[in-house]
Amino acid sequence: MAGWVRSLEPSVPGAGDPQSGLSPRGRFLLPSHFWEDHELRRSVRDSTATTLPRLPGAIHQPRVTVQEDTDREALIRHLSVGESHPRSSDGFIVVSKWAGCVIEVGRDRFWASLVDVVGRDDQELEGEFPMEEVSDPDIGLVCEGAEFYWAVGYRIQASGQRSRESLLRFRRLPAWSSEEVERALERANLLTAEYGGNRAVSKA
Amino acid sequence: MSRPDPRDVEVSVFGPGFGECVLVHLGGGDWMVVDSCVAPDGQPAALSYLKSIGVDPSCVRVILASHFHKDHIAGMERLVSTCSTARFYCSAALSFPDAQALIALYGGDPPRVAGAREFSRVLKVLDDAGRAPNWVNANQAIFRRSPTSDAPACSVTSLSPSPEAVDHAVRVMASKIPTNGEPRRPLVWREPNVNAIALWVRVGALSILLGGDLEESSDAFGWTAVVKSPVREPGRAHVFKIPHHGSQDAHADGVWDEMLVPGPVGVMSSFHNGSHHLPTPAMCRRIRALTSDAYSTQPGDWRPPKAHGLPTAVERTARDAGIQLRERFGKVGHVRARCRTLAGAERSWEVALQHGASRL
Repeated sequence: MAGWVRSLEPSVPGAGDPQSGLSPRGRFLLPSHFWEDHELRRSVRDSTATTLPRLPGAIHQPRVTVQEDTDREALIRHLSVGESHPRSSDGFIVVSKWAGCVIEVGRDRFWASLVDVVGRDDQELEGEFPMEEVSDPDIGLVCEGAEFYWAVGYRIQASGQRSRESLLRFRRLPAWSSEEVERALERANLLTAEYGGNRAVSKA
Repeated sequence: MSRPDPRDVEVSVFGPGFGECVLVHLGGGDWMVVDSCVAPDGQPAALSYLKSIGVDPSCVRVILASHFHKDHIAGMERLVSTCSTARFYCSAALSFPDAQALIALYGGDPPRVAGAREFSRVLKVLDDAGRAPNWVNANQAIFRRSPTSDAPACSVTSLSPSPEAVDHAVRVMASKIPTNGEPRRPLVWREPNVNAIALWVRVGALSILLGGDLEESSDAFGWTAVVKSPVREPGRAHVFKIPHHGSQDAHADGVWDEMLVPGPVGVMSSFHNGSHHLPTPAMCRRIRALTSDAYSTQPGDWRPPKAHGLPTAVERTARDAGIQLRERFGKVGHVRARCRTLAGAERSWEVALQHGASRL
């Protein structure tokens, strides 16, 4: 189980399969180190508010604190669907999570397409993000076509304090290898010959 | 909407949803799809429209990808697999191994390029079915039909890309093939779109100019090369699919002066991506000065609607952080121009507007 973001309670039926990496809805879960190996904790609003009483009928009964600006009905809605919110080993309950791809970079903001990877929403979104939402180590990765993950959720501290967080992390990719490039060129030459092309290509 | 008569020629432009699509009834029950536009339900707009008017996908004779920007090719795999008897056409530049290598490199694992990924899927669909792509150069016959008892003769001919444009595109693609140890970065194509396919469609005495996204560049590339070509199809078009969403970079006076009838029916699709929204008010003014009969699939100031139904935590986080969330796919507007082709019939085009499409 370790190493993967998992559902809140392993005992919940259909809580996900860490072997296959599939969530109960058949979507891929993220490796937990995705959340653990970076320091991107933006839009964090420390909780200063009250502890809620346990909710009758809710599958999970975490002790939580809520922000002052969180209305009670909204919180109850979140908790009542808590079983479908995966929680990482460091106490982060994901409310929504998207795979993003940058489509444009401006001076102080960037635009990206967003695909829901939790599986609650089929609609693809377009987000306009202030550049200050990106952590310093990732700034150099922000370019057209760059991929990232964006998650919004609640972090529950050991003390039970609850805070809302937005996590944004850009994907780091390995350098091209000569094997990859050679394989692509071989395939290209084969296809071109099949299509009746007239010259081969090679790369030093 | 009703199904066109075999004697009717019909031009439909769909967009934006995600992309742009032109669907042409060539008369005689023959159809051609140029590019693809995906609706919010994930379906190519052309297929949904054909189904709505009771036309079987087997009536699609030609599917043509004018170029490989993702807003013109999204959904192409579904089109090609559904219209299993159609011939597939794309730029000759993609027949070169440099292009195929880029598709192999960027069509699968990250960093992915949407156009490369879709095209690699199209190639697989074609290969699995024993079909092959057809490569297009300028002044090439795409479709021909002799006159029948109920439909006039028809021809579809490519106007671009010129040999120089193909050569230029291949050189650029070759320069983008990575080398060993090179950082794996997304492939970005910023070069002017001089490799797009523009088409001349003739059905009986009617002509249509489909501009794709072809931009203006130089005497050898783009629209000036088309206008000056000594072997291009003669005549003037009655309907013009305005290229590149009305952008100035795709405007050439020679097209309006030498290739179109005065005051043609002009149709274009709107475009939204990040901070870019086309056509701009200035573009609309320029086009209105050229023809009073111009239409767009959505108004010029159109934007996708704000995202709805998000969890409260997301809405509040976005609000607090200054993040704006919109739907990626807007609704698909539809401009349809239809005309009867019988000899002696008055050549008046009936234009129908649906789902937000409007006159400029």
